[in-house]
Amino acid sequence: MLKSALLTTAAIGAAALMSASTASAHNYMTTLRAPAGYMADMEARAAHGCLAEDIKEVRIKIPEGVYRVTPINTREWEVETEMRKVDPPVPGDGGRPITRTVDTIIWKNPTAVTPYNRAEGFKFRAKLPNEPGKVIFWQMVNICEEGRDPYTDLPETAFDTKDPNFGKKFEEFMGSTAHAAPYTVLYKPAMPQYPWEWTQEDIELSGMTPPEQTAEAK
Amino acid sequence: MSRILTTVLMAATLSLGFASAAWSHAVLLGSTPAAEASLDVSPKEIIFNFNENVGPIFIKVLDRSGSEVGSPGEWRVDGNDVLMSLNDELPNGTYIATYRVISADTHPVGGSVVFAVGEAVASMGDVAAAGGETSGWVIPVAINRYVQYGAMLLAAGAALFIVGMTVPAGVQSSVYRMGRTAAAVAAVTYVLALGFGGAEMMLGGPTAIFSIDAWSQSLASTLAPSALIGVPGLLILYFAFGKGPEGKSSPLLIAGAAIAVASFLVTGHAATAAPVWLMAPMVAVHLFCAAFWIAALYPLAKTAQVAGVAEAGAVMTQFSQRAVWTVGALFLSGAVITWTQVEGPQNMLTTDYGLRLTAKLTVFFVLLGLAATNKMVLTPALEKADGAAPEKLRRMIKFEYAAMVLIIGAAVSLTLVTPPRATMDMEGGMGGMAMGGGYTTTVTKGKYTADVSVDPAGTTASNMVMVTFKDDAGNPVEMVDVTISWSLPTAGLEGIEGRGEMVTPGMYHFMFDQLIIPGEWDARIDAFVDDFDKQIFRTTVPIK
Repeated sequence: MLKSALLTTAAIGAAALMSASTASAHNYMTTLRAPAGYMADMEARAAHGCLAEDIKEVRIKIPEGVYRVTPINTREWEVETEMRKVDPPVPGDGGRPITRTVDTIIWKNPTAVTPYNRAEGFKFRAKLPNEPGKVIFWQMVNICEEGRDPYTDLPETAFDTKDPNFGKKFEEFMGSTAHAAPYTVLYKPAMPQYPWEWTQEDIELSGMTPPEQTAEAK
Repeated sequence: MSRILTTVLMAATLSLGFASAAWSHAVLLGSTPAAEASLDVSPKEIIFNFNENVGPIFIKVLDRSGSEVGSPGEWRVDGNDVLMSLNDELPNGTYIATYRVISADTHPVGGSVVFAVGEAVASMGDVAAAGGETSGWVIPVAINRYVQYGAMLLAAGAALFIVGMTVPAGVQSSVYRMGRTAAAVAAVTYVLALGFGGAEMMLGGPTAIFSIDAWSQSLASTLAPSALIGVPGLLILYFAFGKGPEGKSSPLLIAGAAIAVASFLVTGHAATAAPVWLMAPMVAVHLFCAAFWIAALYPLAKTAQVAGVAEAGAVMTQFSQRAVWTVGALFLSGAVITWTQVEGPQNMLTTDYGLRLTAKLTVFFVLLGLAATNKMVLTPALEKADGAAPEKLRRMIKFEYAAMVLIIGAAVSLTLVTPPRATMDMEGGMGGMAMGGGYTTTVTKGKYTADVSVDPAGTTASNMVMVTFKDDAGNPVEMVDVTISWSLPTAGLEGIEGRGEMVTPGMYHFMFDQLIIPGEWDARIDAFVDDFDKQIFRTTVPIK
C-alpha cells in the first residue's frame, strides 16, 4: 500500500511540478486532493478577473459522477444552481435513485467587488466518485462586465494517476492550454468517511470502539 | 506510521507542485510607443508595462517584411516594466513590437503592439467607422432626417392629394400653404443633410460641419445625388403650390412629387438593395402611398371642420375609395422591402434592425385599425349626415397623426442601423472565393461550421474578419463568446487576440490591425456554444 501511495504521489507531484512551469495559473481548486467516495467540502478559487476587469459572476460545471452538491453559503454572493437530469438514474445513499442533480453552480451579484488582481474562493459540498486515482476536472468561467475568462478545457481522455504515463500525459495537457479546467485528484482514503461503514481493520486502525460494541460491552 | 508518512509525503509534494497555482498570469497594461501610436521620430526604446514582474523571453521589433529592425540592445527589467533600447533609427513606416515573457506563475505570455513612425498607422479608424462607429453628429443627422422625411412626404403627398381628390373650396388654400411650407422646409433639410452627414462620416468634432472635409465626404456619397434630385423637385413643388388653387398645374405638381420621391431612390439601404429593379420601384410605391396618406390627414380634418356634413361625407367617401388601394399598395410594397432587408422572420426579433421594423409594423397596424374605423364607422355616419361625426373624425385623425409621427420616427431609426441583408452581404459577398483582396474559407468542427472571411487579406489596411457559425442543418448558431487568436510562426508572432461582436445571429465581426507582415497566418477561433462547450476552429490565412 505504501509503495502504491508513493508511486501515485510521485506521479502527481511530478506532473504538478511540470505543469507549474507551463500553464498552472488561473482558476484552480484549493481542494487539489480529496478522498474518493467522501462527501467533501470543495473550494474553487478564481485567481483573478478578466484581464483588468473585476469578476461579476462565477460558474462551475459539476462533472459527471459528482452528486449531492450543495453550495456553501457565501454572504457576499448570490448563489444559484441549475439542475440536470440523471439518465439513467444512479443509486444514491440509502438506495434511493438519484434522478436529478446540480449541473452548474452560479455565484453572482457580489455585494463587494473582487478586484481583478485578487483571488476569491467559492465553496460547495459534494459527494465525490469512489474512484481513487481519478482526476476530476471542474469547468469554471469567470464573467466580468465586458469579457469572460474561461477555464474549461478538458483532456481528450480521462486521467488516472495509476496510469504509468499519467505524469507525461498530464504535463502534455497542461502545457497545451492556458485555459485548463481546475482539477481535483481523488485518492484512496485511509478509511470510509462514516463510522458505520468501517471494517474491522478500520476500527482497529482508528483505535475507536464502534457504538454497537460499546452497547454489547455493557 | 506508514499511512501518516504517506499522507505527509503526498501533501508535501502536492503543495510544492501546486503552490504556483495561486498566481495569475501577466497582463500588458501599456506600452511605449502606445498601441497604434503614430510617432514623428523613431523611438529610442521600447517599453512594455505589465501588471506584475515578468521575465522576458524575447522582445523584438519587426517591419512589414517580418525582418527584425532597430539593432536592439539588451533588454532589462525595471519593476513591472520591460525595456529594450534601439540602437538604430527606424525609417518611416509601420512596425510591430512583439514580446514573449514569463509571468510570475511561470506561464509564458505573448503579445504585440503596432506603431508607426512618420506615417499614420494603417487606417484602423477609417475601417472602424465603416464598421459602425458613430460620433455625436448622429443626433443632428437623425433629427434632420426626421424633418426631411416628414416634410418631403407632406409636400409630395399634398401634391398628390390636390391632383387626386376633390378638395372643398374652403380647404384648398390651406392644402396649398401646407404643401408650400413643407416643400421649403424639406429643401433646406436636403442641404443640411450634406453638412451633418459629412461631419458624421468623418467622425468629426463639434466644428466638423464647417470643415471642407465634411462637405467633401458628403458630396462624394449618395447624399449628393439625393440632394441634387430632391431640391429641384421640391423647388418645383414650392413654385406649383405658390400658384395657389387658381393656377393649379397638375403636371407640375405630379412632376415635383415624382422628382422629390425619386431623390429617396438613390440613397439608403432599401432602394439600393439588390435587385434594384424590384427594390427601387417598391420603395417608390411605398413612398407615394405613405405621402398621400400623411398629407391627407390635415385636409380631411380641415374638411370636417369647415365643410358641411354632406360635403365632408363626399370627401371622406372619395378618400376611402382611394385609401383601399393606397393601403394595399403600401402594405404589399412594405412586405417586399421587409422580406428583402430582413432575410427571414427569425431576424425580426433578434436583430436591431428587425426590432425597429417590428416596432414600425406594430404602430402601422394600430394606424390601420384607426383607418378602418374611419372607413367603416365614421364615413357612413357622415354620409347619413350625422352631426356628431365630423368632430369624431377630427378626433380620430389626431390619433392617426400621432401614429404617423411614430412611424416616421421608426423609419428614420431604420436608416441608422445596418439591415441583416447588408451584414449577410458583407460576410457572404465573396461567395467562397477570394475577391477584391479578401479571403474566405470554411472550417468544420464536429457538427458546426465556421465561414470565415478576411477582408482585405493583405497588410495595407486593417483586416475585417467575419465569422458565421452554422450547425449541421445550416442554421446560424449564436455563441456565448468568440475569440480569434492569430500567430505567424515564421516571424515568432503570437498572442494577437480579438473578441468578436455579434452583428446578426451567428455572425461575428472582428477588426485587427496587427497583421502587417505578409505570410501564412494561423488563426485559432475559440467559440463557446454555451458556458462550458468550446469548439476550436483552426485555419491558415494567407496575408499578402
